[in-house]
Amino acid sequence: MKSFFSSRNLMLLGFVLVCLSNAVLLLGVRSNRVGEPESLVMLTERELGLESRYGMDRENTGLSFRLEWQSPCGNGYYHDTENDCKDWFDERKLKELGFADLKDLESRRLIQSKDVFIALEYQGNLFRESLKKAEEQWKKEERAFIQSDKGKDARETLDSARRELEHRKNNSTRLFAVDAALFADILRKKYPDRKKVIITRAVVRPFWETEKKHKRVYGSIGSLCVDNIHIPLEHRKLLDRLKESGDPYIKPPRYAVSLAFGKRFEPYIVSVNAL
Amino acid sequence: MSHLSKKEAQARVDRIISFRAELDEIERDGVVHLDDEQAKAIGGYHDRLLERLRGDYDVDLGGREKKLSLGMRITSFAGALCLGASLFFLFYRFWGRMGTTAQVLVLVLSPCLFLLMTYAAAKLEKTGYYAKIAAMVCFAAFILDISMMGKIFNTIPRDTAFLVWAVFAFILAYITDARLLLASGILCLAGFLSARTGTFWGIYWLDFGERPEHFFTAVAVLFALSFVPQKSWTGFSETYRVFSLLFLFIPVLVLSQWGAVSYLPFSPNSVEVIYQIAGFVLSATAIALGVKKNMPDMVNTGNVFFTLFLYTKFFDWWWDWMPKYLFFLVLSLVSLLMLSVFKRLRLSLIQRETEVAA
Repeated sequence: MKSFFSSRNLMLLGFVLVCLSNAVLLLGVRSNRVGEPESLVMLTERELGLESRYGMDRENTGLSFRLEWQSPCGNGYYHDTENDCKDWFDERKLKELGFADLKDLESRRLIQSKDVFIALEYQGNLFRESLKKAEEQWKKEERAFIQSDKGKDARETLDSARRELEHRKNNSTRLFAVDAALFADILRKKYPDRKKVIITRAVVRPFWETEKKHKRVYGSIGSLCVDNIHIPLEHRKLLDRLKESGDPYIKPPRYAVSLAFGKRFEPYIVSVNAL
Repeated sequence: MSHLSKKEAQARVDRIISFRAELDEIERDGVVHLDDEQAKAIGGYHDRLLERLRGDYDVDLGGREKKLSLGMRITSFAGALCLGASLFFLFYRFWGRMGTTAQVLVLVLSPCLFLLMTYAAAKLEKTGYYAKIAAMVCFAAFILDISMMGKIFNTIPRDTAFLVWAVFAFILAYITDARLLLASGILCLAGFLSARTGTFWGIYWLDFGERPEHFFTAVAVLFALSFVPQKSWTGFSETYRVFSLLFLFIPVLVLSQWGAVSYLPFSPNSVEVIYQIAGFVLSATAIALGVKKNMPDMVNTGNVFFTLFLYTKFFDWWWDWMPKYLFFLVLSLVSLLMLSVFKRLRLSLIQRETEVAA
């Protein structure tokens, strides 16, 4: 036993392991990027913001994009960070995804997450609806302001509605989660436009709430499996020259990115251009 | 003299030193007196043996040396941790300014270079401290390699990373006889097995920690590995055994308090009762088995968790209604009772060790 596990044999095994694991990883990367991409979308800074650095991470010279996306809440308000998709991610959809025993939610037993495919639509109906709702809200606040005492509070509410509309028009992401399925080809058949709909993997989980004595089960997209996209050196020249200016909540985007998702649904940057 | 592990060599040295001290005592008490020839023969034999053991195994020949060795071990561990952290931050500082090819080359070559250094240090330096430092840095380099490659190419995280890290840690542990690296490998292996068990039950692999029962697969594998003959490596069997028990008892403890996260098709309260009973039975079985098979590590781990399960139960039963002074008094009386039980167990262990030695 000791001769088989001699230091020399173990060292050779170690070398083989390092080389093999890296080779498998690189082959996987190649298989992801070879041939026509699964989706190829032209996004902007609105959907691909630069990752912020804090604390010890400030020494990190690597740069990455963060893929920003939204989902509708069903209550008329659309938030950048809210991931509950109460409109379409209902009990029927959850059962389609294999969440069989939803009664466990009520008894407070943990229902675990699943790794599924989701469809993110770029500048689709949900984005247009969110813009329309923001515009309606601003008009409503404008009418209320005209009829009010035009005091400080009323002015602030109107400004807030106007900023929200500007944010929706110029700054917020136009990618919306519109569907989920266990298999990617089910989604691709339903959303064949590869330049408008990204299909990628995400982690989902069911939730349960009581609203006006009515119990409802709905799904929530926790996070995408890959939502940080590393920026290779050849695409950084433009980004390194960018300077912060203006109100970050409403400023327009400064760059456009051609982002591809390969056969393994892993993203990679094709090009970065100034706007 | 057949090939010994470092632990066996140290035990032999300790016996020789104890023998010499005891012989001096009984000679002073007049019980026995060796003549010059006998004393010279025994003394010479022991001197040569101690010299050979020190040269071959770097054992400690006295109490001061042992304390120094402990200090050296702590220092080498701290040094290895700092070097590993330095490696991470060094890469973080410069990788953004490298092209992809350069990044890949640095990441792949680093663990290969440190692996070579580990092997060279293990061959050239008898104490093994430098080899262990190099091995820990090598492991850090390999973790950096796989995780950063995933970051550079935006790959979806996979549980197989834990498996390759585990195998690499085992390789380094067996080259350098380092229990810390073995423990790192065990943790990675347990992570992989639990993640796979979770995937088998349909969950996203990164959430494997949500269901403590996923760790039971690791228990079986690690316990089996503890029976693989590996006396040449110091304390490896015990390490496998202790970790297998930890991965058994900690989930049982969690489930005995939080039944909602169990797979069992019963109400959370029923699940908690089942696991509370299981906790007592399993820890008592570990103690009994440890005594029977002369495995002190198993006895001690079983003891710790039996005590934990007992105190947790006392807390559930009495904390809310019993006056606090009475609660702690009862706990202390139970501790005294358990002390007398442990004394009997200890005596039983010593008797068994004596029988085995005979």
